[in-house]
Amino acid sequence: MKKKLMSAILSVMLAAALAACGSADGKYADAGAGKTSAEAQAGGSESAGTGESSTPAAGSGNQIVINMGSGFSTLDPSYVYEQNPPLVINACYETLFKIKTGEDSPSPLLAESYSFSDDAKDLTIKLNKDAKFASGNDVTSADVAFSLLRCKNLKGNPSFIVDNIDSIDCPDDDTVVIHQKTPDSAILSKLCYSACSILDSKVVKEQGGTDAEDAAAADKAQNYLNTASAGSGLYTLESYTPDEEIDLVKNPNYWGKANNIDRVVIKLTDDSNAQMMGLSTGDVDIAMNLNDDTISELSGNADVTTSNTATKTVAFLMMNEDESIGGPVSDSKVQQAIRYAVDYKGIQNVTGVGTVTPKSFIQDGFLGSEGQLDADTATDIEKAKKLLAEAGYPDGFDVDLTVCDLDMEGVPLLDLAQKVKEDLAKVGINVNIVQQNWSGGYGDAYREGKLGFTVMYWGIDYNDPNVQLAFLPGQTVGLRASWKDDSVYKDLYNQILAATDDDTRAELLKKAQEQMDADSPFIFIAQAPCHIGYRNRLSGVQFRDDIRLDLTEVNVK
Amino acid sequence: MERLKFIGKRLVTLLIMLIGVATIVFILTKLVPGDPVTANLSQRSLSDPKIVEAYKVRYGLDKPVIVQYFYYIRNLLRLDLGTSIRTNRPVLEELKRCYPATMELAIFAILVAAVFGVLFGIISALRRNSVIDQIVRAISVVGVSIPSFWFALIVLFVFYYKLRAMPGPGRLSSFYAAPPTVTGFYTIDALLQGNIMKFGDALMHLILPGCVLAAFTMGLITRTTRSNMLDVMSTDYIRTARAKGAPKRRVVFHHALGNAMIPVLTVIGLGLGNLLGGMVLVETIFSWPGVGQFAYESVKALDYPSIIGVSLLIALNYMVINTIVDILYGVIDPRVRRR
Repeated sequence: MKKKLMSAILSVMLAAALAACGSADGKYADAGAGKTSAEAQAGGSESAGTGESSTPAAGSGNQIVINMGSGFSTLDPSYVYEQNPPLVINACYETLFKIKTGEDSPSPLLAESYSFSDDAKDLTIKLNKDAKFASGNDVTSADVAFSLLRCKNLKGNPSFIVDNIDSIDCPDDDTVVIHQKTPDSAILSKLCYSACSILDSKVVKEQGGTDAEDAAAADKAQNYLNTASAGSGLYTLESYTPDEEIDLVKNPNYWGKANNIDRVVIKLTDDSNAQMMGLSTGDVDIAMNLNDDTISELSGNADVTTSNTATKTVAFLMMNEDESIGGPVSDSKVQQAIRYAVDYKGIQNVTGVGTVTPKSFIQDGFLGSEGQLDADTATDIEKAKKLLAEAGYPDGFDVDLTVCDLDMEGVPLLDLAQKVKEDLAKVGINVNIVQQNWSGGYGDAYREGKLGFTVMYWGIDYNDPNVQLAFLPGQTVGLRASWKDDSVYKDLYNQILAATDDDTRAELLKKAQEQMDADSPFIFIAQAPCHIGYRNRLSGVQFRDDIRLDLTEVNVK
Repeated sequence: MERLKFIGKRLVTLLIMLIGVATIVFILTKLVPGDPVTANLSQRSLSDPKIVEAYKVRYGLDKPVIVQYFYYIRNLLRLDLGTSIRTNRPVLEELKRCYPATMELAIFAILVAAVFGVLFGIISALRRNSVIDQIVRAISVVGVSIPSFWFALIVLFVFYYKLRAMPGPGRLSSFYAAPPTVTGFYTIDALLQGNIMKFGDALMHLILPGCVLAAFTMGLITRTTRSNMLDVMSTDYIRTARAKGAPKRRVVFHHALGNAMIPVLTVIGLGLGNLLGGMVLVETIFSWPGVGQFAYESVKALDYPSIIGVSLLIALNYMVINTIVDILYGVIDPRVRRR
């Protein structure tokens, strides 16, 4: 009897496994024939209609599967700061303005029009009257005020973005007046950032959300927003299983122009090989975190397109201006010598295909940028040696280069440090690499300006060149190199912040770059690439710095 | 009464041990050079004292370490493991979410390891020094010594990428939604949902990671079974049974195997304990959202409530498994029951 029972159980298990193996869409067996699970669904395969998804009945039934790295600590927009979550936030929520793919300045989204006061401190925004949340509620000025003030008062990672907002008035349902403490030419770009997404205040308040000054302690809505969305975006959050999967379904009340994808499944996986294999077999439509090796593995695959786009995440060398900390590297001639000694082309090879080297501290791609450095000709060993001799170091010197355990878009900073060590050896500078953990001492030392010579990276917080002003003397990163305030730079800084038209901004930014090229203790060595792969059945897949990928622009062909 | 006293004693010991583990891990996390604030706040936020202060208050990091410790133990006694610094969710909820994934995989792996390990061990012992014995011994040595992350990459590459015979990473194919949670085991929950296809899919997803994880324990079980079977098969009572004309199958499975299984059971128990602690590399490669992956992410973020939570879970695993193994000794060997 026991044997019979066991045999029956085993038979059922085997049958189920075999059935799964040869399921209608032939997933495991047929993927290689170019038919993907997602394609099977697009073609009306039965599995698409198994009741597994809550795809709107009137929709096309298209589903796409995305592989991307983890690093999601929350899906509450007002707390979101990491690299990957903005992709989801942008799909479920909308901001007042949006930088469209291929453009470098913001356009209205939930806003319809806007104007600045004469002193550039007050921004008046008229809202689009058609905008609705997924709940069916209208998007009103009260929602805008609630969302921005909640972000500010939660005192989370992205709160600094709205810290300059002094108060917000709502004269009527469709008008918002944002009063700033000081003029800020980046305000429109900041309002494009995921953390400035507009939330349905009625829904969030019902879930314990608050925008009061004590929101850091009193707000209780984060857990709700980790399980559901409360925005006006193209999609709504159907489910979120941490470290595993995020499912998005089309917002039935979406007020804008929709794409033809009803459901998005985001599988969280850090392993680039797994992403490449999934894409290659057709289980995955978009792989967001490929690397040089996995991209080359896909090169012969006719069903897949790959892209290697330079991001605005930039690696730089920092040399402390304080001689007691920086030693020889605090000398401006030594800094110039190092600038000429670095092999920029070689660094591009280390960081991978798609890398570019910015000419200055405003990365290539930003408004007012000086563009790219010619990596083939920028290195001049003889000139570097001459500058070292002029600085009093004809035979070079020994120096510690501190590096932490972080990586820049998948490239370990240690790899960059080793390349710099190799380059500087050619001019007689003997670099000793000192490794430290970011959270085990490096982070504090870096922030407190105690590192003499280091290689680090800087990812943009919001998509605006003003984010780079942190490198000016007296500003956040400048101070880390003991680069104290300077009246010339201070005036320039204030002028850049006050300029609200693009031409004036670009001109001032160019001036700042020329000045920085002459005397800054920073050398910008590479803009890291992002490698994406996607199935050819899709269109509109394009990397973006601020949100990685704009799902609202992706369509099934 | 005696039995109640025994159970009470075990529970008190368990509680003391858990508090001990919590204390040691708490001290270690504080001794490690690292700061959860630096690990979790951005470069920009770290420059803003208001944000740093709010963060510390939020997670109780503003209090002296000794006060943090007493709060932690007090909450632990109330079965509150605190809130994860990384995910801002209760640690207990996080463990409830990821433990079934690890448990399902571990149970599958240990079943594979035990069934094939014991089988190979018996065959190897009965065919001592034959070609089969040599092959089985070679397999068990490879199983024990092969690095699991490498093996994981190879099987994924061969069976998923090249042959396309097996599903890829994850617990379920993307066209299936997770079944409604009852046990947290996707196979069982899919059956409870009445979806046989989903059950099959979940089962298929277990095979590659399960076999990778089983390889090490299977090697150990094979070797232990073989050596114990050889010992038992040369004892007097087996010789007597044979002399009395008992069939070989009866001698092996009825007389010899039971006695040879006691040390094997210990190995199986330890293997299961090891697997239930989560296998970071294998879980990462197979995108398996289990305890190992959760522990890894928690360590990266210096999320000490989660680190302590995982440590307590692992300690509890071993304690429970040891108790079960003790009970099974008695089931297999009547002499243990009489002691």
